[in-house]
Amino acid sequence: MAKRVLLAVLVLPLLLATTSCWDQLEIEDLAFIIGLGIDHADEPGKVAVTFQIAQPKAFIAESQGTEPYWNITETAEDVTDAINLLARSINWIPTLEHCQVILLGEDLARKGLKEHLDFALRTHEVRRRVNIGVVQGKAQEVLEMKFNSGLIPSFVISEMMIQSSRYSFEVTDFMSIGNLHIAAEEDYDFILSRLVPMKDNLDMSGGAVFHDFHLVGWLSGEELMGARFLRGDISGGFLKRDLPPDMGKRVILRVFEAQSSLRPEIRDGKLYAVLNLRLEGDIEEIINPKSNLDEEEFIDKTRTLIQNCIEKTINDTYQKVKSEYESDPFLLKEKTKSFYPDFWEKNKDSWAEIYQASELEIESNIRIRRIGEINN
Amino acid sequence: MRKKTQGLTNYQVTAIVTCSIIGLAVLILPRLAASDAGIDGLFATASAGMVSVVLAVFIILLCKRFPNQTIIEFSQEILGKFAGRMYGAAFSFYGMLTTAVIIRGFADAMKVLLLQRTPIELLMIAMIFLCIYCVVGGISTIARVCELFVPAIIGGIGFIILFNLNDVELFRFRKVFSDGWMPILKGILSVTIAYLGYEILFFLSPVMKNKAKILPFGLAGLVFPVILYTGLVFVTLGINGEKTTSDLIYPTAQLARRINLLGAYIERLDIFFIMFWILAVFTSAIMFFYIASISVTRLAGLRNYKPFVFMLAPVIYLLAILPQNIVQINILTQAANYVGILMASSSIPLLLLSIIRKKGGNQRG
Repeated sequence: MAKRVLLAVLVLPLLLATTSCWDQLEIEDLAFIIGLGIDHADEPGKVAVTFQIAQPKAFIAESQGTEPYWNITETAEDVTDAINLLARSINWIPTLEHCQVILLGEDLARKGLKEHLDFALRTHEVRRRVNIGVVQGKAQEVLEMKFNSGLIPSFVISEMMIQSSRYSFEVTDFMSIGNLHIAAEEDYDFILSRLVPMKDNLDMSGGAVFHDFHLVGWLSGEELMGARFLRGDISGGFLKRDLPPDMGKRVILRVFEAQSSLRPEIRDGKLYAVLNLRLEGDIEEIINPKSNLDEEEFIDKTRTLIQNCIEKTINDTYQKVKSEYESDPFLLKEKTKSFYPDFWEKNKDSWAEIYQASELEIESNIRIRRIGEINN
Repeated sequence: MRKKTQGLTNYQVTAIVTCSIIGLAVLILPRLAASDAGIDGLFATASAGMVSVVLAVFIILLCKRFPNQTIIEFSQEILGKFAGRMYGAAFSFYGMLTTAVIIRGFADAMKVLLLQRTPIELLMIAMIFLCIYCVVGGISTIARVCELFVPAIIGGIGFIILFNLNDVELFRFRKVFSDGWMPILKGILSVTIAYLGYEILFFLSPVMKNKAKILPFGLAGLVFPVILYTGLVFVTLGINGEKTTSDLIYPTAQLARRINLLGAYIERLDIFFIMFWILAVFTSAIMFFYIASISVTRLAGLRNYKPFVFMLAPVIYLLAILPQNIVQINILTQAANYVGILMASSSIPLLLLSIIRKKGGNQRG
């Protein structure tokens, strides 16, 4: 008996240690911020942060009709301040753990991003893979758009960025928070994806070019394709090219495999950016085919046409970004540092001039594999 | 009934060494490598592994001369009574200090990465209780725990490396060796501390079943740490670049956080990584706890070390709670690491002395 009492006494303190988690948080008590829009506020020096908060109730089948999300905009000194303000006005605890996308307003991006980056890196809540986009206009507008699929805008936007960038040359999701951190540390430029709110849909093609963490200009969808080739982040998409009259009207190539790599080369003290690219594709559509060429000749001619077209696009983008925006989002500086450390040490002060004087060389290799199910 | 043969199997020795090396440092290793050696951190990590292997060889060679004694006893033979006792005291202090550092570092990382609102006192006390429970069970219990956890720990870290390998940008590594030897040497110095833990070999020889096999199986314990550490540094540097890696406090946790499976349906895998990391921290903490308590016991000339486990626990807790902020924690960690390097490399003079003074070696075990 005495032993049993002793045992009981010994076991009782264990209860203290085995009570559940100290950090327990009921899911109902959390406000999941799934999207964040940061704009310039009307008050000087302040930002307007739009939080898109998921409504967990909306995911339950019975409560149809309730909006699956709501937006709250807070004006504050910075983002963390805004989150604190948000906590004051709702009875849940805001958390960024499931944040899908961070959108930046154009005005804010032009003023510079650096001061708004730290909050996302220092807290462990934000993932390093969160996608970032720049809205041509106000970020708040995009978060308030209604999408036909009835889904939450933040989800739609991040899905669009991730999925579309695999199937279209004109959308990018290359830069995430983590990459922005690298850009800030290593001091290089980048291109973020561009979002253009239209009347009732969203155009996500194109990019926002940054220099020194300031938005300096926009790229159209086609130009972004060139930029993606130069950056080496390319997977697949469609290429369109008008045909000469004797071949038909237009041809569309579906690229299913694309690889590209840019490497710097120093010859006689001058910087050459050498782009090596390889494309593999099938012909998806020929509009008004009126060719009496045989297949081999047709493929051959189309190949040359597309090759010229791509090279021109890439070259134009390179020149535009380099000369007009004075930005280097193609990691050319990073790569020169790595490829030619001695050259870099000697010339790091005059990098801007070296970059401006650089030339692009393209070695392209385009293969058209199949022409679909009908002959031309 | 035949009495079971006592002692650790060969594989258990390997597991003990692996488990005691891989610990707290996994979380910060890429930062250690990158902040001193930059992109050469990759080479520094591999070389630091080689340095550690060499030190471990010396430790084993020394222990082979005294197969039935631990360092605390045979150091008195080699150095004489007084100096040997001082050395033993240093060893037990090192054991305690490192246990304290591991437990504090663990609690702090947990506070940042997982349990923001749990008081660190609770985390530390819970961990110390667990360690006491395991260490009191004796070296065979520790060995079985390690045997069990080794695949999980290796698998956990291997998983992180494997799923990030795709994003490594190889062009960053073109720069290696471009800055001369200084950064590499500095890097080796700071990464060597991440390999500390093989000092447990000083204590394993008397409890091993097949004492002749301690060299190959003891060294085998260093193989996985060297591979995993080098892989981890390669992946982190390749993805983040040198500057960003040295800016991240817990770069390995960031690596774990990057992983997306099945197209973003499974994400935030850092939780799972931290689970495996807790196992690793636990196994290395019990090892140093064991070192501390067994050296104190042997210094007092006693056999049964179990009461000392309970006596040391409050001391370790006090040491661990002492630092007030991250700066002081770093000072304490540095202190523990330097003592550790001293202790590990003390095997070389001890071995020379024992050969010169003709101590050990000829006795049959």
